[in-house]
Amino acid sequence: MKDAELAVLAQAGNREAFGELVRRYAGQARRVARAVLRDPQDADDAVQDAFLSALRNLGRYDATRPFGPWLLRIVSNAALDRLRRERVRTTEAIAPEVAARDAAPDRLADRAALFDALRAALATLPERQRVAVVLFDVEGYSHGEIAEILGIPEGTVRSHVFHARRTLRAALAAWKT
Amino acid sequence: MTSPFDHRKDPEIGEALRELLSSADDLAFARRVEAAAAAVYGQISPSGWWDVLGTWARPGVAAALALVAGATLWLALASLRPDRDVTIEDALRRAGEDLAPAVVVAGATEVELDRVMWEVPDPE
Repeated sequence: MKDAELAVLAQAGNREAFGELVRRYAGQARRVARAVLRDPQDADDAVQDAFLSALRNLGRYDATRPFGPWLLRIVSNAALDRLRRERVRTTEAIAPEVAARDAAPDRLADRAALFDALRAALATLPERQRVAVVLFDVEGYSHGEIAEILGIPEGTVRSHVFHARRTLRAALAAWKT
Repeated sequence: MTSPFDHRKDPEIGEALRELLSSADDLAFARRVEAAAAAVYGQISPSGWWDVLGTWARPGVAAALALVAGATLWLALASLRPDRDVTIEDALRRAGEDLAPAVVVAGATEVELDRVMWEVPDPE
C-alpha cells in the first residue's frame, strides 16, 4: 500500500496504518535526528515527538505529494528545536573537542575509530549541512526534496552538501592514511 | 571517490554515515512510537473523526444538492409548459363554455330550445 493511502487511513483512525508508516520511516527519521543531536536518546525522543506531531497533523498532509519529505521536515524541525533548547540549557562545547580530534587524526586503525572521526567531522558542520548530506548521500533524496524538507532554496542545499562532503572526505582520508 | 561537485550520491560517504547513524532496534523503536500514539488517538475527539468523514462526504453532498436543484428547476419549467402548449381545440372549447348559457353547461337534464335561446346574450 502506498504511503499516501496509509496516511489517509491513519488519519481516519486506523492505528495499523500509522504503525506501518512508523516502521517504514523509523530508520530514516532516526538517522536524520542523530545527524542533528549527538545523544541518541535525545534523537529518539525528537523522532517520537515528530511522529506524534505528524499524526495530529495528518489532515494538513497533501496526499498528492510524497509523504517522506513531509514527515522528515517535521522530524528535522523537531530535532533542531530540541538542539536549540539544549543549547539554551547548557553551553555546548563542541569546538574545543573537535579541535582536539582534528589536531590528532593519528592513524586511526579500526572501524570504531573511523566512526569517531566521522562523528567529530559531523560535529564541526552546521546542523543543516549535516541533515542535507545525510538526506542526499544516505537517504537518496533529491536537492529539490531536501530544499522542501529544510525550507531553504535548492542552491543552498547544493552548497550545504558540497561543504559537508568536503569535510567528511577529509575525515575519511585521514582515517585511510 | 567522486568529486564534491558531483550531483550523484557518494556511496562511500553514504555508507559510512549510514553505519554511523543507524541503529539495529528500529522495530523496537517503532513499537515505542505506536504505544505513544495510542494516547494521541485517545485525545482526538470523536468530532475529529466526523470532520474527517465530513471532508470526504462534502463533495458527494454538494453533487447531490446540485442534482436536487437541477431536478427542481426542470420540474418547475415542465409545470409551466402546458400554458404554452394550448391547442386550438382547447381554446375553442373554452370559448364555447364561456359563451354557452349556464343551463347548457351545468344542467343535468335536457333543456328546452326556448330556454337556451332566452339565456344566450344578445350580441348587441
